Amino acid sequence: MRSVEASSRTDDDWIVNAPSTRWWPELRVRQLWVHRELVAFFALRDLQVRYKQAFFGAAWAIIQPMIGALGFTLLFHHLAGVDVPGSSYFAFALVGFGAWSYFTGTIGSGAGSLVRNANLLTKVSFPRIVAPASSWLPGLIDLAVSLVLAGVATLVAGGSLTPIELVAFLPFGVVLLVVSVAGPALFLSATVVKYRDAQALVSFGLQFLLFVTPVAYPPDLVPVRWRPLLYLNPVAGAIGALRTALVDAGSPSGWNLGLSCAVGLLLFIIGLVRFRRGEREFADII
Amino acid sequence: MGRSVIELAGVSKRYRLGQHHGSGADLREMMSRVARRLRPSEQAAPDDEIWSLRNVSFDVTEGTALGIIGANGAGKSTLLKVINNITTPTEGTSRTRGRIGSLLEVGTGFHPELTGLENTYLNGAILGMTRREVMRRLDEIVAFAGLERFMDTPVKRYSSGMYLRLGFAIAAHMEADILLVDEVLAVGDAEFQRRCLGKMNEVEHSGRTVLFVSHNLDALTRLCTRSVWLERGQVRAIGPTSELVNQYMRAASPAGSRITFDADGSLAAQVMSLTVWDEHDAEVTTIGLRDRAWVVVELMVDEVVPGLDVSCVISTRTGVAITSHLLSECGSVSMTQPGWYRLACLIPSVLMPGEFVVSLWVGTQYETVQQFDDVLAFTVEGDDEGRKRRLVRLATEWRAERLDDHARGDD
Repeated sequence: MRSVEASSRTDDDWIVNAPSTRWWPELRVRQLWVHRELVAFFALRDLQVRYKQAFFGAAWAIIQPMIGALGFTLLFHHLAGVDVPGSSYFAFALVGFGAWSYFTGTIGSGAGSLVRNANLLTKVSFPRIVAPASSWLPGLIDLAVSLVLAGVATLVAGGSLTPIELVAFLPFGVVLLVVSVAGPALFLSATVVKYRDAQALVSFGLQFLLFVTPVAYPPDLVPVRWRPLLYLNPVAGAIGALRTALVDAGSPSGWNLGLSCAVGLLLFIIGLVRFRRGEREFADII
Repeated sequence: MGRSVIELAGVSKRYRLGQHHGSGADLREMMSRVARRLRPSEQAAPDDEIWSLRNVSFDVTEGTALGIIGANGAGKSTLLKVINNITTPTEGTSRTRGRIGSLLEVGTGFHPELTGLENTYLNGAILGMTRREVMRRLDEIVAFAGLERFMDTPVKRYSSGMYLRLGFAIAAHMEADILLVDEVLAVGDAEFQRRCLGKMNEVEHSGRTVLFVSHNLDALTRLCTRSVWLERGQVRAIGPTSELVNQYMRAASPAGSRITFDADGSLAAQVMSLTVWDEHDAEVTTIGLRDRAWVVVELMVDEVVPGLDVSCVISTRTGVAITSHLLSECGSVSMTQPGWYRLACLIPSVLMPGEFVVSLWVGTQYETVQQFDDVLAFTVEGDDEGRKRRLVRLATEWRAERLDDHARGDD
């Protein structure tokens, strides 16, 4: 039943392959669920490959956020004097670093996902969205490790974790983070198929984005009336939610969180529309 | 007649040549387009489009094996890509019913770092099999590929043959309703090719549909009762494979009785012309059954090449070589001085009626100077005396002896 999704389906089980006449494409979000097994296989492949012939192996997932957060602590906390009232800065930095690494890593691999699988795209008929969708998953493991480390760091520093906040904000923050990555990643993957230099643009944009995202500093540093601007970036909302769950450092207002969600969803739809509109051409122009 | 499972209606596919295949352009191109608009005297960009398929329409009924023939670039692969939903037609509609399996480029999507087993699951999933389906057929797949001992080895350590066998085994064990096959038989050893053909036969007999693209016209004739002949993206004919193959081969090979070549100064020895002569030294394209005829080669030798030899191969239109003869085997002629030589090779008068092609090779033990494959055609005419499909008739004899004067069952 797989290739049914490759184009529209008519009543008589026919799979129809014809030029599209519609301006607004069908979004077919359900395709992600129907082909979850294939998405998982792709993600698993990338994970397996990552740990083959590797010296550090899985230990890398712990070493990386520790060193990153340590760097943040030295640089921003000790040298620049950034402080987070009521919490250990190290735990605070672990959440920020983990979420930001997930964001940048996944945008990068998502943007290149179609081009990396170019030979599959031109030779095998499989739902194209599987390639970018599978790139959202592997980073979640590293994210989970960072978040667990952050929780532990909070407890070690003498803070406390509230079960209600954990249950409410942890899944929410992760989902918001994935959705905010998914939209731009879909958009970029379809664009890179045609213009390879879009990928270079990505790393340039991410460098800039790091400054306006509260990764290393708390959002309180921005005056309240300007703060919604910060939360126009859905990653800011996601980091805020994750910190609410794991670090005792205040939480974003409901309005600001809502703003992040709305922007994240909007970006997701834009990315998906872009992807669906380009999808039919991928094999011809890649 | 079963119901149709593939329906193509007016399918056309356009590709753009050049750097940017899409509808957009890069910055430089955009700027030059603006510049062009400022200077109206300059001509518009040349039309760099190519129609790989043009208005192709046909139906395929369930359980049939359809062959697709055509020269390189006729659009065969594009056609399979459209049917397989890999690419979208520019115009027209392609409709298919049921799951499509494809033996185009088997092993695509293997990851070199993963083991044979891991790749089997991954590749199965890419081709549309569920994990359970792969698990159920795993033993069959491994046995078919003959890789029992290597399933835990990363495929980067596989030989190209092993790689191909695993890829084919996975694709062939997918329960597809429609199977697309493109030239897989060109690779792999003879034993593996035999198994592949067997597998395809099996698929066809189980009521599924096979689309077979191949330059191996012999295999095509055996497997497919009907075929489509594509020419420059258009359907030239649809019909019984044997008829179509004959027409196709006649169209594909030269009709003239004489082939001449232009001199290329860089070669030490150079074939100037090639003809078939009958007994009276007349150029012919048709010879009678049992007539003596010659393949006549004119050769210009500019420099003496030690050990220069010429070989003439006669084969069927379907590519089965029947005879080959080396000049040196006959011993009498040698080209020890520069000059213009005429060499004649007797066509053994054993060929049955039919069409044959001549290939020519010029070279030494160590190198090929010139080679022409299937360059000249001739026809043998006559009565085949009811012996259809025989290529040659050779003198042979029977012997009969009586071994005992009792009938066996008597004692």
